[in-house]
Amino acid sequence: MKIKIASITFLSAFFAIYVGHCYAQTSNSKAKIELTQEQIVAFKQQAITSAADLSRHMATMVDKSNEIAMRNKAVDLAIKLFSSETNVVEISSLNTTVKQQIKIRQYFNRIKALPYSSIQITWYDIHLSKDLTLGADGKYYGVVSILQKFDGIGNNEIGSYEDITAKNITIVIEVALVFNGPDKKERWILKLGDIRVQETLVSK
Amino acid sequence: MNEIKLDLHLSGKTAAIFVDKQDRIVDWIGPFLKDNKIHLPIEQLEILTGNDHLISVYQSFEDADLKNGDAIFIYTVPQAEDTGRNSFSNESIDAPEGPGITKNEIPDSEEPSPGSWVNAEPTQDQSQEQPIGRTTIPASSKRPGKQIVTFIALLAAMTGGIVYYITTDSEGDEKPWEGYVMPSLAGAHDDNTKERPLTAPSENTNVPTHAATSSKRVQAMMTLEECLSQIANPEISYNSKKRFKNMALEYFLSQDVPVRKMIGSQITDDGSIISDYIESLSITCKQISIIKKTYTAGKIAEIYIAEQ
Repeated sequence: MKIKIASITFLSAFFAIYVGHCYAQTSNSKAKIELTQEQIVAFKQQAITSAADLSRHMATMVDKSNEIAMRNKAVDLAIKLFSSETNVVEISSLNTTVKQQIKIRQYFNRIKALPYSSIQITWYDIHLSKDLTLGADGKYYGVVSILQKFDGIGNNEIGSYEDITAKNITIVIEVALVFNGPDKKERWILKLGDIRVQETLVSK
Repeated sequence: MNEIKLDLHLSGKTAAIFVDKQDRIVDWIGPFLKDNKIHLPIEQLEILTGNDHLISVYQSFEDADLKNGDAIFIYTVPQAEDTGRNSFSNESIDAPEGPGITKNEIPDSEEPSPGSWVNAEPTQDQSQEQPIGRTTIPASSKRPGKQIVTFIALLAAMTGGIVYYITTDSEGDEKPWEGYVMPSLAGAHDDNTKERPLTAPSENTNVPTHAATSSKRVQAMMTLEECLSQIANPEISYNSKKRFKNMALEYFLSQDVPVRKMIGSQITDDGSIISDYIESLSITCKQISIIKKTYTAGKIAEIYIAEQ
């Protein structure tokens, strides 16, 4: 009986080591895949396009003249541009020095519901400020910088608010399992990461 | 006054709805008598004779105020089986039945009204005798809806409107036209970049030439490119884009078909699937061009696009 238990224990341990080895191999093989220079150039362009898409979705979600279904859809689509729902947006204000970090969905819902009668968020000067580099985890990282102009037109009660914020958006290029025809295959995909405030500037 | 008289042989399957650019129904024609989602009133239809379900419709299209670019939606159901029997024969297999009308209410006249068309095998001579300003659609069709489709094509040729064909299955769900005119969609599987103007079916030689040769282009069904162009059109409201989105998705194997972005000769991927991409396009209103499509089972399984 003891021999039987020992055999099972040995086999289980062997199996665990074997599986771990395979997993490590897979992880390592992922890390070894690198983008070609041409792919990096294309992804740089894609990074700016994705940031511009996010800008458009944000403009749509805050515009109160848009249909609510459209505004809600813009929130969902904006979130899909990100690597994960746990990504955060750093927010700042001219009225405080404290920078807050909130999750992307919460952030979008918040700006969508701001009590201004009219809101305009405009991104401009979108550019890649930090080149794509290979991280230790096998993913590529870069930074897209933007200037965000916020215009909130309020009533007598809340007044209006306007600022310009310099923001940095992390770009992540990672291997993900995506559809390739009817099957799924590992491919490099570009996603947005956290958004940090670099500086809040006084408008005008 | 651009008024024409049309004698239509309707078998009760088809209806057309005229929609202006603001998505308002400006007019409609035809009974909606089967299990379609939309049931339209038919009081305005003037039934002249019954046995072959001839319905004459007097329609002033100026009232509909159709302008170039307005949409005409044709709803019809595919025939379950082509038995070789004339849909417009006395067998009344498709007699109008539905809100406001039953078979028994159809006048049982054996004689066609003057100028109406009841000959199941019309000849070329007969079509040539049609008076100017009066369009008669021949009843040579064995397929349902052919006459009304031809009629709408003529109408569209005259008004410059765009025609969209939508068929429904027995559940009333919209689906692509099956085995019928639908030139653009039928060609979608091999090359849907070709524009195929709607022409009368080849056996139907009696389409009046003044309309058939109209210089205005008539489309049977939007190509994928046309759908995407409408989806990305900032002048069309988000709600109005819904039908274009549905139409575009019909070209794809599933809603999860991946969208590959082409930048130069390089493919980039942001993990987009076609349903999300189409939604995004309706908001961002970007101009795109399709670089390549790969097909599985006649539907697009992968699409490569370039954004401008």
